[in-house]
Amino acid sequence: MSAVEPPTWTGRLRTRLVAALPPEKLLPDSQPSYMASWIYVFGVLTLASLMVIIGSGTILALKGPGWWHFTGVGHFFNSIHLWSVELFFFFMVIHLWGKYWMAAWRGGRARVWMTGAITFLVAVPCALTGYVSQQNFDAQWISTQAKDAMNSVGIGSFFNLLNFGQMYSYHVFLLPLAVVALLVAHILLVRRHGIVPPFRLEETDTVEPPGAEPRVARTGKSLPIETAP
Amino acid sequence: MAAIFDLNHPAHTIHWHFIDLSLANVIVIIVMLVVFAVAILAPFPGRGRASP
Amino acid sequence: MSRESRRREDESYRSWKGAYRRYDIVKEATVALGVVTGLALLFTILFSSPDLAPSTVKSWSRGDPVDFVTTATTELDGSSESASYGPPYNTGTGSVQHLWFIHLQQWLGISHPVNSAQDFVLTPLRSLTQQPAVQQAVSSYTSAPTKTQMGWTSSYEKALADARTTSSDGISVKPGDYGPLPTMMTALLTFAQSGGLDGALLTSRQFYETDYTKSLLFLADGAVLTNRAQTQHLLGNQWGIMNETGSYPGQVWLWLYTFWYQIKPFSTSPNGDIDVMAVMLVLSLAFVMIPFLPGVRDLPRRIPIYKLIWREHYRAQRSGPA
Repeated sequence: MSAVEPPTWTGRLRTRLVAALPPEKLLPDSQPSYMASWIYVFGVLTLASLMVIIGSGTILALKGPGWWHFTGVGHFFNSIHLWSVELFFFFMVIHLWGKYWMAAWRGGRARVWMTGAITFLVAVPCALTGYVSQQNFDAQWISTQAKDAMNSVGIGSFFNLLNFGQMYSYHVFLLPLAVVALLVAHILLVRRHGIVPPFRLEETDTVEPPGAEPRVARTGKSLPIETAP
Repeated sequence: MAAIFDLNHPAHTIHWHFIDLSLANVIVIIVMLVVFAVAILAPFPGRGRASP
Repeated sequence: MSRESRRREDESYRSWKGAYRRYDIVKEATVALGVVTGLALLFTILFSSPDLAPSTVKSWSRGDPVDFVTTATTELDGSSESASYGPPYNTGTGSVQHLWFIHLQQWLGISHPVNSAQDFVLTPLRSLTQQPAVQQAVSSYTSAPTKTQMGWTSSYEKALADARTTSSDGISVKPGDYGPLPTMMTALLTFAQSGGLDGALLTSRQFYETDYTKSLLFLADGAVLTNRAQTQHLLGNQWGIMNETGSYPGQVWLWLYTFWYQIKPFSTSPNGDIDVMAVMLVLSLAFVMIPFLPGVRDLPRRIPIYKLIWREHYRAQRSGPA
């Protein structure tokens, strides 16, 4: 590998990506010592729930939307899909509570918070499109009721909850794509910025001695993780 | 494939003033609060093994 | 705190210069996947999932023929909810909402045209072949003056309020001046009870169809969906937005959205939906922008739950380096 950045788009992109996320940051094998609480597992539990949602949803998609009504195996995978959705929101909200009370946006991590919040907000209509794709009474009721909210803000003119074909397309492709894209951005930002350090306990602690240079790179990018010696 | 517990009967609901929630949803909310509290309070393994 | 001191404070949290511990991220993700898969399997085995069969126009017309015929008559005279709805279905005003000067529903216009009289009654009846009496009745209705049509439908709807179901799932109303309506509605009811109307409502410009707009609007105009929803605690005033059918947990994450519908002014406003959507839009934006909101972003510092989360770290700091 050349030490000098090649004057190609590929070279420049690779250099930027590797600088932002070197392998030891992307897949670290150490973590800050202050991460000593069970609250820290709820992010990965949310991610794992999404994997089960996508896995069970893939099996449901393989056999088509009507399969689960007529076979025990299909109903089984529908149940896995439903319960993994419940678990997804369960773990995500607890993760959110934890991150809020840690003020995890500190230290230049605002985008981490924002991508996480937007992921939640996009997951809600993703679930809605799933509920109206069930092809049962629940889907009939939810679609005929929620359509009024959509129509009231004009969204109903191009997002028709009563159109099964459209809703199924949004549910199995468009919105999961959006959720996954946002989640990838969220996780990469977490890896890049690291997990937020704890609040300092003493209110009167000065940030650094008067006259000292701030210990951050001038570009504002975070310094590479220092692994334990 | 029958479930062990059949939940296909109309829900029990919890009424409090104008709040009207299904029992299942109330259970989920309570469990979330309990799990959050336990997550924060429960001791985490591996204390004191951090290297300087 | 001045802006500069806040900036320096925030910068000081950018990176961690302290101790690290060994950590296996791949193992953690694998364990998490196992835990979630196990929980999903457990809940599946214990509780399965609900699947209440959908209502069809066939089941509706057989189960409650009086409600079916009443609804069909209101579609014909334009008094049903969908007939008078407004955009995106038609030029009605019955369900058009706005917020101050914001009339999004009207601005976005009619994108899914639905003519209730034509789509739910007249076109299906015209598709019936070898029934000259029905075609004659339809022609009589459509060629009559509007005032006459209204007179027939109005009288018929009054009579339907006291109608009874016959042993053959038909309906019986007391005699009156209803014009061709009894012939038309008897034919429509028979068509519906045979299952033909379900298919006819789906038919569009092409063979393959996945758009159930007309079928669902027609069903929703009647009482069949509402009656089932009430039994399942799914109505708006039952906090139904959050609920699942049966005793299953529902969409608990919609609690705040549901809440607004239970209180004034939202619960009584003709613009309740757009009002609630506006409030939720503002709150959602605020949720995303928490890092920048004074007060909200400072609450975690003021209510020190963080002292519980990081108590090991603070304990280690107090005891000093090993």
